[in-house]
Amino acid sequence: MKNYFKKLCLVFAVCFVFVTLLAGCSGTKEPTGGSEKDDASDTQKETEQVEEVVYKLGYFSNQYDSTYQKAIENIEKAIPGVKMELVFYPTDKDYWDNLPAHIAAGTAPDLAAMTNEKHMDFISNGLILPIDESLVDLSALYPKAVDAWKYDGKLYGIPLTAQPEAFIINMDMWEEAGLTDLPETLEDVKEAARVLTKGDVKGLCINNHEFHLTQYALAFGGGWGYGETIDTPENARAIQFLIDMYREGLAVTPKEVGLGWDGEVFAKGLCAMTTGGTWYVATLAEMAPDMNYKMIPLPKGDTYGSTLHSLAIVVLKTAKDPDVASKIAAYLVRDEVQEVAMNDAGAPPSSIAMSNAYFENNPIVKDLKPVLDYAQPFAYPKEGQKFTEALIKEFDEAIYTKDSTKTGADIVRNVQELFK
Amino acid sequence: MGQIVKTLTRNRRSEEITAYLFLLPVAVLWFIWFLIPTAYSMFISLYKYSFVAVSQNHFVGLGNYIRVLKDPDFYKALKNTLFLTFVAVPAQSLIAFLLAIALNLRIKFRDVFRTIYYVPYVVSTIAVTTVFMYLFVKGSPLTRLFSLFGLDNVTWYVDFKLALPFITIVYVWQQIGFYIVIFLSGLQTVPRELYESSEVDGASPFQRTIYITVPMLKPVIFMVLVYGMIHALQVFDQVAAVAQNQPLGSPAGATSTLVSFFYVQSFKNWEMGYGSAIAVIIFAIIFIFTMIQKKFIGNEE
Repeated sequence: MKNYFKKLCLVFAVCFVFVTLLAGCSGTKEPTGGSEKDDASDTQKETEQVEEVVYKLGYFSNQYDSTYQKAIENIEKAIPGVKMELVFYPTDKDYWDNLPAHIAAGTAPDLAAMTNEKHMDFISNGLILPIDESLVDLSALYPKAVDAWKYDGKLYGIPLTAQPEAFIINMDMWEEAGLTDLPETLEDVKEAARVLTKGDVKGLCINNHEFHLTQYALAFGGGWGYGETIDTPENARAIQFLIDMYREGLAVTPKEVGLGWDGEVFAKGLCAMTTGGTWYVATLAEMAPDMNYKMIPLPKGDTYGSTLHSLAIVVLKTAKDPDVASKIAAYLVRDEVQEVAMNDAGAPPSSIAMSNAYFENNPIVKDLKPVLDYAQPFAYPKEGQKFTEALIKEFDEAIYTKDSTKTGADIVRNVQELFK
Repeated sequence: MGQIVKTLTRNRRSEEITAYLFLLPVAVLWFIWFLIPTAYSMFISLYKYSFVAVSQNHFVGLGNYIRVLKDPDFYKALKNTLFLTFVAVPAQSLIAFLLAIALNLRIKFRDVFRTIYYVPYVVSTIAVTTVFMYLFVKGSPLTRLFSLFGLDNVTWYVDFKLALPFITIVYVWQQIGFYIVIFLSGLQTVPRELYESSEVDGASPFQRTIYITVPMLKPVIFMVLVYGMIHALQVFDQVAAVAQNQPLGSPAGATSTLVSFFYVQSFKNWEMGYGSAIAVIIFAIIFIFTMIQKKFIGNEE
C-alpha cells in the first residue's frame, strides 16, 4: 500500500512538473492573483472595457519612436473601441526578416509602418491588404508617394513621408582640399574623390546595399524595372562606375572599416562624400553636431536620378478587422504626426503643403526639393529579397575579391538570369 | 524461493515504472518539439512550399532535392562547411588537449586559468564575433602583425579569401574552453601510478603524454572529435554576426555554410520546401559523419 502511495505521489509530482513546464512555455498572460475584492473590481473593469479591441502597429528605427507615440495618441476618441499598442523591431533587418514569418504564424501586428523598398514581396503574396482610398484625402498627398503604394490600381499603404535621395558632402574636407564648385556629374565626383582621398579617409563611401546601388543605376538612366530591365548597358555602367571607384582606392564600404552603415562612416570623417537621405540630418545632429556638410541631389551620370523613399502605414493580413485597421491607418498619418516625423526624424512629409514648408524652412535640405520631381520607385522585382541577395553578392565579389575581373556587365547579366 | 523471485520481479517492475515516469515529460517534449517538426520538415521537403503563399503550395516529389544537388551555391556552402569542420575540429581538439594537460599540472592559479579558458564558451557568440571583428579591421595591430607574414593588411571579414579563416578562428577560440573541460575530466581518470612507474623507468614528459595520456584518453578524444564535428557542421551564429545587414554568407558567399544557406532559402526567400530539402540533406551529412566516427569508436573499443 505504502509503495502504491509513493507511486501515486510520484505520478502527481511528474504531472505537476510537466504541466508547469507546458504552462511556462505558453505565451498567454493570465491575470495575477489578488484578493476577492480586487477580483471583483477587475471583473467590473473588464466588463466596462469588453468592447475595446487592441490593434498593434509594428515599426523599426527608433528615430520614429516619437512619431508613432504621437500617431496613436487619442485613438480611443477618434475610433471608439480601439486601443493601440506599438511593436518595435530593433533593426530593419529584424523587421524584413521576421515580419513575414510573424504574419504566417498569425502573431504579426495588425498594421505596420513600412517603406516602399521590399513591399512588393508583401503585396504580391497578399500579406498587405488594400485600403479604401475614400478614407483619406489623397489629393493632399504627394502624388509620387501615393503612386509608390499603388499596385494593380489598388492602394496598399497610406504614405507618411515622401523622401528624396541625397548626396552628402563634408564641406570641411571639401574646402580643406581646395575644392570649390560642387560636383555636377559623377565624373566630377570621381575627380573630387581623387583629391579628397588621403590615407584612411576615402573620397566616397559606397554602402554595398541595394538602396545605394539603385541611386547610381537611376543616375545612369537605368533602373531595375521590377525585374524586367536589370541587364541593361545603363545599369552595367552604373555598377562599373562604383567598382572602378573602389578598385582605384577612392571609395570605402562601411563594413570594411568596421561600421554598420554609411551614415556612421560619414559622421566619423572616414569619407568625404556619400549617398544617403534626409535621415542624415538627425544622425549627424547626434553623431557629428559640429560637422559642416551639404546635401545636394546626386550628381548626374547620364541623367539625374533618385528614388522616392516613402514610409507608409499598411494593413497586414493579420489585422483583426481590415476595415477598422484601414481607418486606423488613415488616422495614423494625420498632419500632426507628419509634423513630428518631420521635426524629430527629419523626414519630409507626404503632405504637399507640409512638404513645401519642410524644404523652405530647412536650409540644409532645400536643394533636394527638385529631386521629388524626377524621383522614381525602387522597382525591385517582386522577389525583392532574392534580388537584393543576388545583387549584393555579385557586387561584393567584384570589390572584395583581390584581382577580380568581374565587370558591371557581368553582374547585371548574372542577376537578370535569376529573373527571366 | 518463489516468493523471493516474485519480490525481485515486483521491485524490478517498480523501478521500470519509476524510470518511465521520469522519462515521460522529456519524451513527450521530444516528440512535440523534435520528432513532429522533423517529420513535418521531411514531408514539406517534397512540396513547393511557402509559408506566405499557402494556396500555391503543391507536391513536387524529389524536385527540391534535385534542385539542391544542381545548385552551385549549395556546393559552395558545403565546401565552406567542410573547410571549417576539417580545420576547426582538429585545431580546437589539439589546442584544448594541450591546454588541458597544462591545466592538469599542479600550477599556481590553476582554477583561475580554468575559469578564464571556459568563459568564452559561455559568452554570446554574437558578442564574441563582434569583438573579433574590431580586432581584425584593416590597420588594427592584429592585421598589421599578420601582414608581416605576407598577408594583406585588410579587414579580414570582408576579404573574399580571409573571411572564412576569420570565422574559423573565432569559432575555434570560442569552442576550446568546452573541450578543455572534457579533456580535463578524462585526465582525472588516468591512474597516477602509470605516470609514476614511467617516471621510474626514465620516460620524459613528452613520452608520457604520447605513450600513456593519449592511449588512455582515446575514448575521450573520439568523443571530442564526434561532438566537435557535429557542432562544426552546424555553424551559423558567427556567419550571421559577420553578415551584419548584408546577405548571410557575405562577402559574396565566402562565409556561407550549410545552415546559413538553409536559413536564406527558408526564411529570406520564403521557400520552405526547398529549405526543408536542404535541412534533410544536412541531417543526412551529419548522420553519415557520425556513423563513420561511431564505427571507429566501436573498433577502438
